[in-house]
Amino acid sequence: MKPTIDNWQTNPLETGPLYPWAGWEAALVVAALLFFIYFLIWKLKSENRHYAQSVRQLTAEPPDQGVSNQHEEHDDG
Amino acid sequence: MTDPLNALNILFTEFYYWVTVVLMFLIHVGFCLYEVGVSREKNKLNTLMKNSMLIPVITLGFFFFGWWLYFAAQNGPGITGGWKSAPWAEPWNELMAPHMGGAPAGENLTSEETATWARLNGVFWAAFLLFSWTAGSILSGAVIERIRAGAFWLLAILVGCVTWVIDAAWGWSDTGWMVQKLGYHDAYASGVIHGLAGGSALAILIHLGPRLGRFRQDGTPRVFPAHNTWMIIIGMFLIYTGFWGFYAACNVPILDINPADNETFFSATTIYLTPTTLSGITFNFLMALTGGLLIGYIVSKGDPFWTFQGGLGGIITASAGNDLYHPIQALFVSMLGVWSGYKLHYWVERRFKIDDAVGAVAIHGYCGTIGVIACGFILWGYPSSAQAGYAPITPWGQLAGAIIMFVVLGFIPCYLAAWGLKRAGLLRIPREVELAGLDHQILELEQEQRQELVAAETALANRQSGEQ
Repeated sequence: MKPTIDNWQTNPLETGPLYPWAGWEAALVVAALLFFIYFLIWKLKSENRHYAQSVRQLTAEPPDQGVSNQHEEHDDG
Repeated sequence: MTDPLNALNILFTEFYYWVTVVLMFLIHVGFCLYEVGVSREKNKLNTLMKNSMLIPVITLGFFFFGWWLYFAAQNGPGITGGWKSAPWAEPWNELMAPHMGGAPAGENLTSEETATWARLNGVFWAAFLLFSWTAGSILSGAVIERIRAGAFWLLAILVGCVTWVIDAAWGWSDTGWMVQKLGYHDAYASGVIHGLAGGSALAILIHLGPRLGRFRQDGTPRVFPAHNTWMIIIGMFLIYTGFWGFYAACNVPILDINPADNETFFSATTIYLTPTTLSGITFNFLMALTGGLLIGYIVSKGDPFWTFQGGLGGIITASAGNDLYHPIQALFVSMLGVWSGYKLHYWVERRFKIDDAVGAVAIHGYCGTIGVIACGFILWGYPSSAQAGYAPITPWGQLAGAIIMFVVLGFIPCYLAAWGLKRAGLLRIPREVELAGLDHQILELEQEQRQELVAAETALANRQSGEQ
């Protein structure tokens, strides 16, 4: 891909974007937006899983009485 | 950028905003310290991450649509016109990136606009972005120790990238419809940021509910001792410092304000392009801080938490008119706001069982709203804008503006959003986790690691003494 700037010995009044891949801005925005949405969904889901697991651990019976409870945890997935 | 005076003006403005942004970063550092200090030991890391991670979340939202919304929504839309064109703020526009300002960046931009925005777009964007972080951070403190981080970030996006941006477009721009039609004046954002964020926080708190154990059987609140007072105090000082930068960022540093074409007269202006001076607002900033500290100290009988909060509340109250007030007016307005905010905080807490962990609704919401209304009386009759034909500042215009900020754009959207999150089971952490603490797994792991280390050291010491 051709660099946006290939020579600094030009008239700055004619120079626009300095970043590489000029012309691909919309694609970059779409990619970042998709990642943003993914992150938010991932956070909500992972937080749900985390708290469900924490509740199971915190409400589990002590180890000497906890055999049946462990089975329940396993069944819950 | 070929005319020396014009180039110097633009480069100075670029540097000016860049410095204010760096200063304003301290607001977020302060909020993080403050919140972590207030939270209990068992919640401190989660509290830190919840607030810190609003930085990337709000930044992306503000890049994608917040900045564009600020320009596009200034007419309502539908009140004084339709959606406004703002190509430089569209996320895919080449001016939303490093740019030399040469050839026009699109069909809707002239060469001059391109050259100007190429230098100022990033620093303006950043200044507004840091206001957005502040709006999110105000919510963050109120809801600590029981909100889910994911839900909080969604609400922070709503406030930091949508609602506060819309109210800024309406009431905190030189052509916003509220400025035109209501004569709304809020130079340093008493209502635009603080009133709105306070209203938003109150709405979320209603759905979120109080922390477990907060209220006794008889309805009186229990005090949750802060886990680190020094973090709170240092945090507050950093917020004051950052707020100073915020004041500078609210100004346009250098503008020709002489309407006559044959002469120029450069001055700093407010965001409404009305003249003010950095010197004048420095008087008022410090006198408002002074009034807030004094009345906070008196009303709380020397309580450090409320004294420092009072300082912040004082600045927030006086901010709406601090471009024009006399310093003594700023002093008294700040006192009025902090006294009222403090009293309202405890009345609302006991009457409605609202658990605002840091007093954010009082200091930001009530003080900001009171400040906007007070400004309407003190600056009654002043022109709201440099533009001819706009409504002047009036008490009823400011009252309407305060309601729009606190209720219409602050309370209602967050009430609905928090209601939806609550219905989906995404708003509050489980009761068991709240009792154990949000950091309970990390703290247990650290305890195990410590015990393992002590055991290893003891074994090593025993072996060495055996060898001797």
